Amino acid sequence: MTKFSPVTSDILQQLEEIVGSKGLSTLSQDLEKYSKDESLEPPHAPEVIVHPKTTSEISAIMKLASTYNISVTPQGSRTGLSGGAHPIYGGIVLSLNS
Amino acid sequence: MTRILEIDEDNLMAIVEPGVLIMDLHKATEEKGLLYPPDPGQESGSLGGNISTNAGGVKGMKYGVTRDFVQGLEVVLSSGEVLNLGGKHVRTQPGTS
Repeated sequence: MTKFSPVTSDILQQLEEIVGSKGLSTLSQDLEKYSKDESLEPPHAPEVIVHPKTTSEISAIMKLASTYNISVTPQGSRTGLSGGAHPIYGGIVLSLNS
Repeated sequence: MTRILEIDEDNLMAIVEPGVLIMDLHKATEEKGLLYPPDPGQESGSLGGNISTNAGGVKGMKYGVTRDFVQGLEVVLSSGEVLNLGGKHVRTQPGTS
């Protein structure tokens, strides 16, 4: 199994520089909300949720994540029935729904 | 990431962001007398997820699946590189069917 690095406060700060303070969340109720889709799989909580607004923001997030080896799970409206949107390795949830 | 950027009635193409909901695209196209046929049953699903899973659904039996209606994509790779694949016109779409 691939080992991913955890999201540290330094990385949170760099993410905040990319998407702004309103574009990211680490609140426990959000982590719970974004931990599952409509499948019957047990939930997997992410470490941070980011809401990018443009393609260049997404590109910067992916560059950061690949540099530090952090897992990224893209999510839309989480209506999938087979667990495809579950962030099973934690890490960053890339929410394209806002 | 939830905007319909353009509905091009001459080329019969729409440019959308990945967070656009299927029901919103259906509503916007039907207002113009056009049809986006893929309807995987989850009207609250978003276009990005439909494309990533090549969603089919009941109407896929008659009209085809999501892949048949995608002419181009702007894609971000895991390295952060941005690719522009295909476009509005049929002859500009290597890699998409």
